Amino acid sequence: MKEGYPSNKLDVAYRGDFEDPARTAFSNAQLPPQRVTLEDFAKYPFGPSEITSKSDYVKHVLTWFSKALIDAGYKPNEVDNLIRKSLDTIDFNRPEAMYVADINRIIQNFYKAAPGKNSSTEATEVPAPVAAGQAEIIETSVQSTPTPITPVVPQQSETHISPFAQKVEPFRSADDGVPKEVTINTRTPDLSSVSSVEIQQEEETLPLATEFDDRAQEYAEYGNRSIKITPSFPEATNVTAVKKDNFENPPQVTRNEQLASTPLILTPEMRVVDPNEPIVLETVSADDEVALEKRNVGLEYQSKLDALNTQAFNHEAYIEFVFDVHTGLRHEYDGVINSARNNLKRFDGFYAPSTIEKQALQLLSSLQGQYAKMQNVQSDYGLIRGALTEKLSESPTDAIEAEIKSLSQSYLDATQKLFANISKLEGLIEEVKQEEKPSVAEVYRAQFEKLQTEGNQVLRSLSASHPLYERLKTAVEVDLQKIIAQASVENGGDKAVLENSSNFIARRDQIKELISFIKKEQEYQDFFARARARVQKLESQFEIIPTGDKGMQVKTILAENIVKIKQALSGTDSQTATVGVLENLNQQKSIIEMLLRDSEESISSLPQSETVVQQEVGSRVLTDAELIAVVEKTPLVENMAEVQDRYQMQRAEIEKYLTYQREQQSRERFSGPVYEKAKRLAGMLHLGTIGKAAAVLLTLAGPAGVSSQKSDLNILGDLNMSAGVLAQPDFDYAAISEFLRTAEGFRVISETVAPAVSTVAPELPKVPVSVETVPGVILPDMVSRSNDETQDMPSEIFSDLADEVPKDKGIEFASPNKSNVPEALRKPYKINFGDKFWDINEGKTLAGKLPVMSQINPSLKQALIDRMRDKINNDRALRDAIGGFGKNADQLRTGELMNLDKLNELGVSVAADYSYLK
Amino acid sequence: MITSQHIQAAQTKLGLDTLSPSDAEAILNRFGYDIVVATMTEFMTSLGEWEQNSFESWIEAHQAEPDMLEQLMLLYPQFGKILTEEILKLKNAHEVV
Repeated sequence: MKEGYPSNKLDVAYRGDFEDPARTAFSNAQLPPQRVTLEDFAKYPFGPSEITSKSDYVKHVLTWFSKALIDAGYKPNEVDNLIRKSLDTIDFNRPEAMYVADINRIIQNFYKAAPGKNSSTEATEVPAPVAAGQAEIIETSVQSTPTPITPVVPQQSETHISPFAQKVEPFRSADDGVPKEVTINTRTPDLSSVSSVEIQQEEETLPLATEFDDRAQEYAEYGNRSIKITPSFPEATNVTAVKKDNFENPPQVTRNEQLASTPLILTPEMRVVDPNEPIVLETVSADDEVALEKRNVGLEYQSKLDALNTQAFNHEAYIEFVFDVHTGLRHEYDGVINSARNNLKRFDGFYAPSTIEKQALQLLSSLQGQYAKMQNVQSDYGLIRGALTEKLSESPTDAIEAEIKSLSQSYLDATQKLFANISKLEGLIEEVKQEEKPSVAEVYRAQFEKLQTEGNQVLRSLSASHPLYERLKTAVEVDLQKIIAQASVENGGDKAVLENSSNFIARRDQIKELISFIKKEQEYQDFFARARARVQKLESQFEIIPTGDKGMQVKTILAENIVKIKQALSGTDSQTATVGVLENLNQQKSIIEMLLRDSEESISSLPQSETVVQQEVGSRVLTDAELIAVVEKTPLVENMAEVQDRYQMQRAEIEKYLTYQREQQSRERFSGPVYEKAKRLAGMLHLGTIGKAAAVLLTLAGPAGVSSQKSDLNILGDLNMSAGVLAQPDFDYAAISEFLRTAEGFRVISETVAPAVSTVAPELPKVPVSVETVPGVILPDMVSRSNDETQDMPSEIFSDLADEVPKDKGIEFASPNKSNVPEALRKPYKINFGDKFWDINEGKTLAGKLPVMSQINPSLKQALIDRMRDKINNDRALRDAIGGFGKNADQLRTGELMNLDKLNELGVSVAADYSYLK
Repeated sequence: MITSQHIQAAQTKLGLDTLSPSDAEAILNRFGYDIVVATMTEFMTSLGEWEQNSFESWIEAHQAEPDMLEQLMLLYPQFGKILTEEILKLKNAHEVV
């Protein structure tokens, strides 16, 4: 293999050892690749065995990737930077599977975002192979065909062979056994579906909205021809005619570039046609369709396949069968999705779904996820379909016939699972239709009470000095209480609610918005607090950056950024709820975040020789010798002969102290990397406070506290000076602990007169419920062991645990990835430092946006995230299941993996609970 | 509760009142450092790798905050517990010496 090529791709290309015929159509006689495109990278992901080290990565990826990016349309001057910020950040100290997955994911992202993705594929030239015996490179070129309707006459010599192509479409001959045209005897896709039209008009209704695009792509997967689908239903034709302008990719699919660049396989209808001739799909009659709905469609297809398998092999019939299953599934899926949309939500914004409805929504979500997964050519289903398509395109032989039979069965088996779930969902929807709906007043009351609970939670977490504290307190404790009382059954609530619903709703929405505002504003404040710490750190790093060439550049950047950040931070105090406040804060946040990252990246870009070194602990903390020296050389002491005796004694005591410390540290634990790390971190703490506590305890050293003048470690000056004070307490654990947590205000090192100190222990500062003052990381095990004030708040927020839906064991799931989470989100997301729960949901992290956020109205996004947060806060098992959380949703554990699929499922479930789904 | 009077008395006993403020602070910092190193070592030994990294990140990110120690003890109560116990050990320092 040529050194440096992406191994899997080049192995295939050069050696021709194609173990998986579905993955490539190169043969031994075919020629090696000359170019590596971004598409090649995207289509053929690396396996863990291919990149076992960073050098493999450099060899197989980095060497070729930048060229591929440039050819794909990325700006040459940006490519290096993009790679540095993405691929180059990958941690190769993890298991191979993890970092290879990251590499593949990043490549996919580049591919999807490629400026020239839809243009003709250009390629990156790679050096010609030099090894003897390797095939010569033959330059191939891409030929474009200007119009889609021009009949394609593939010329082998003009065909561009992608070096990493999984398959090369076979060239047809007149007698290759593959029919030139196939009559499809199946039902049409439901083109009259109103939902499809509506969905296309609403971009936010993903994933339903994207299904049509997916479908077009799916057609294109087969298609090398201009395709026309003419449904036989007159009304369907009409709808298509009227609405087709609304579709970016209407069923009439044309793929010029595919027409031009590749020979034929099959059309979407699994047949070869004259591109000028529309394909007419025959359909079963309406009566038959109704009858069909009542049967188990999966079994019917099985019967068809069984019949095919027992007859003499009929190539055409298998092609028809595959397309029949394909379109049948699509039809069933469209039908049940439409039915779910129309029947699974009531009382918009109020209705709490029943158990059955929750089950249905859960299954709906799973179904959408399964269906989306099927569209992935790399899924099991996609691979089977690809292999089957390929086999069906080849000239039939006995071996191929057997493979076609086998693959057809596999294809149907995979499809059966969806049919089963579709049937199950249909049943649940029917049950939902029959259910009795709760009264409007009942729903109103529940909403008010939940809002009150939420308001109380926010109130508890809010400082009394917050500008909106009193306003919220009044809203929650007076206004909302009054509304709930008015809506109560005892007060004729049903009537009151129905008669005054507009007033109720208006007040409820006001309070809701107030709560929402405060929560959002608090999140911004959290960010700004962290930003202040980060900018302080930048300032300290600025001071110690060496003044090399690169160092000066970085210092210039830092100086400018620090000023800007401080300027942006200056106007970010808590404010009253006025128009534009949040937008302004959000803008400030974006600016600050960008500047911080730019600054931090600048520092990290310093070469090793100029890397900012953390301030040495030794510069802040005295060494043993320095400790003695301080005592010996202090000006106050050295000229005071009268205190020399006392000084000598102090020195002796200091030496005893050091002996004590050495003894302590001679234990086994004081060695190794942890100890080294501890020494570095120790310098970052506020040692003075701890030192003061230590000093107090040292002066008590001895079996009887103040009687320590008898102790061997007797650091005593004038005992009489202090015995009065120190004789009072024998400090215990609580006293020290409390001091450490509250002593920041003491600055008494050189005080000559002790101020009057209250005998009442100061109260701990108020700690917000969600520990929002301490965002970032937390170690759950540590916290869970604690029984002190850091325990969770009572689980009372939006919990509706009694209504939790038990998993329906009758539901079949083909895969644990049950929701329609895009491929990128299926991978566990590693929490990065600074990630926030809100940002993860909103897609402001590397994880991308949760699909459920596209399934609700944007105005409900905040409400949904808040409710998801409450669910997570109140359910430790849920936190554990999703992963990445500490004690609550706002405490994310840096470095831990989060299952975004599960998080999305939670979002869907909550959205369903509160009827947030569109 | 340790008050400022106790601290003042302790500094006097230790002779720190005869030193310049910066030297007195340096000595107190040294005391604190010894305590914290012992605490950190014990605490971090009980953590897994990523937990250590998280802890380390948190310290680095919050070192400049004035109430950092308070936050640290709230967020990592086990750390606070060890820290307090390490200080308490000083009461028995004479036994070691």
